[in-house]
Amino acid sequence: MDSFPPPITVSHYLAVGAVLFVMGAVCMATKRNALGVLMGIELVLNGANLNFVAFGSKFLRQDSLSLDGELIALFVIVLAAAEAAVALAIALNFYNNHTTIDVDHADDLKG
Amino acid sequence: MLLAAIDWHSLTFLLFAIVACGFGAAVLLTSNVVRMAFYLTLCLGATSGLFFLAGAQFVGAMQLMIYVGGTLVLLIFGVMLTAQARFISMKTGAGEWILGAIVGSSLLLLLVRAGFSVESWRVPRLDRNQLALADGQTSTAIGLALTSVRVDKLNSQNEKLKPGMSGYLLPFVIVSMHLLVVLIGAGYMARTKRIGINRAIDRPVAQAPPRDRERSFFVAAGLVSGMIVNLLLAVICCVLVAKPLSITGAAAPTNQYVLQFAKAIDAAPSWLLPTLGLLLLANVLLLVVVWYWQKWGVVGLVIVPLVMAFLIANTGLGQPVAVVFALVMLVPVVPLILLLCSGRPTAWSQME
Repeated sequence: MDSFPPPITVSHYLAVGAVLFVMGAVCMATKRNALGVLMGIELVLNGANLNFVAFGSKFLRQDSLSLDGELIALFVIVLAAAEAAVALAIALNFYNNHTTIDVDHADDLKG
Repeated sequence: MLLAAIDWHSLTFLLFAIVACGFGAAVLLTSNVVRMAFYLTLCLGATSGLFFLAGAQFVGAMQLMIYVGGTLVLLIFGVMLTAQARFISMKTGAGEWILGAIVGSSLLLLLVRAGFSVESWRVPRLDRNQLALADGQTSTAIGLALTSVRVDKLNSQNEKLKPGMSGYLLPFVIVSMHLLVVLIGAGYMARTKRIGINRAIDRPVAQAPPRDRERSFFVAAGLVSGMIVNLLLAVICCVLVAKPLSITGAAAPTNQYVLQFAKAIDAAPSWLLPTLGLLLLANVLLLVVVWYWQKWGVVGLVIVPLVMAFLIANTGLGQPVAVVFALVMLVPVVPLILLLCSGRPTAWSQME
């Protein structure tokens, strides 16, 4: 008897990850608020993380990455936290110096 | 029965996937940054639900604790700190939306096609109902893998995978150091140094522009003559090093004083003359420094003769010679200082 939603596979996870990744990438490209760009980066990292976990999952595939996927996902989470801290410090510094958070105004280095 | 036909795993996945993708799209589509932060929280929470469904319970818990509980709180603080009325809602231009939609949709199409293109990714695991829920409890194995013990690969039949059993100790150490450095760096960069309304780049330069500094004729003449004299003495020293005066034989000097001088130099240790030559050259450099308005050049001009006197006093020439030498070297410095301190404005007051 076929179950109502078909059993999920790695491909379904990859599709969700792809959606998150693309949303994040477009978010990074179009947002004018520096914090919006940061949120786009978080989305991208989560999309990639979802793929790692899906490839490492024993419940989706016979010969999975097993623990490697989860470990890499953990490292990505930690690095995302570090990246957010530094990027936020840079954004606040920019805001203090220029009294704006619009990344279009960050053109002091334009040649 | 309809309920019996429902695959709850798949249904829950569908729910979480819709929430994650929907709020991910909401983050992109809203222009209000406060709402973006809230939607992102829900999106990442739904993602952690997907982690749980994939059997990665530890990663899901870490996602909730670190990401939703830590990183996003940090972002929300950033939003609150910069939340002025004009930055809350920043519209994106229509052209950028169109371009982003074209690029994004083609990228999405490519990625989804790639995700469904591999055969083994599309086939579900057939015996998944036999897997125990305890198989998802991987926190012990993860902790051991971080300390370089891979308990999950001990029974690996594949010999090629054996070298991969070495675990993740090095990445763990690297990421620890990275976190420490980031902590210090972020704390350093986020210090409050509020300048107020003035933009930093528009502030007037604190330093006054350099004035046109007048160098009187006497000061210039004194400096130039000092350079020339020191240079000449240095050259004489070099010549004496290269070609020592002979104190015997036909070429011996007939004048009594010159003979004594030559004997004294001959008695001095061999390092004295080159050292004196180098110190005289240093004097020239110090005079150039004074020429370019640096006060420490004058201090150096006083120190170098004292060093020379100390050196000479430690050789066979004797202390009276050293004192006379130092006095001869110091005497020109005194009028130089007097010259620098005379006139209006004094050259000394203009120096740095």
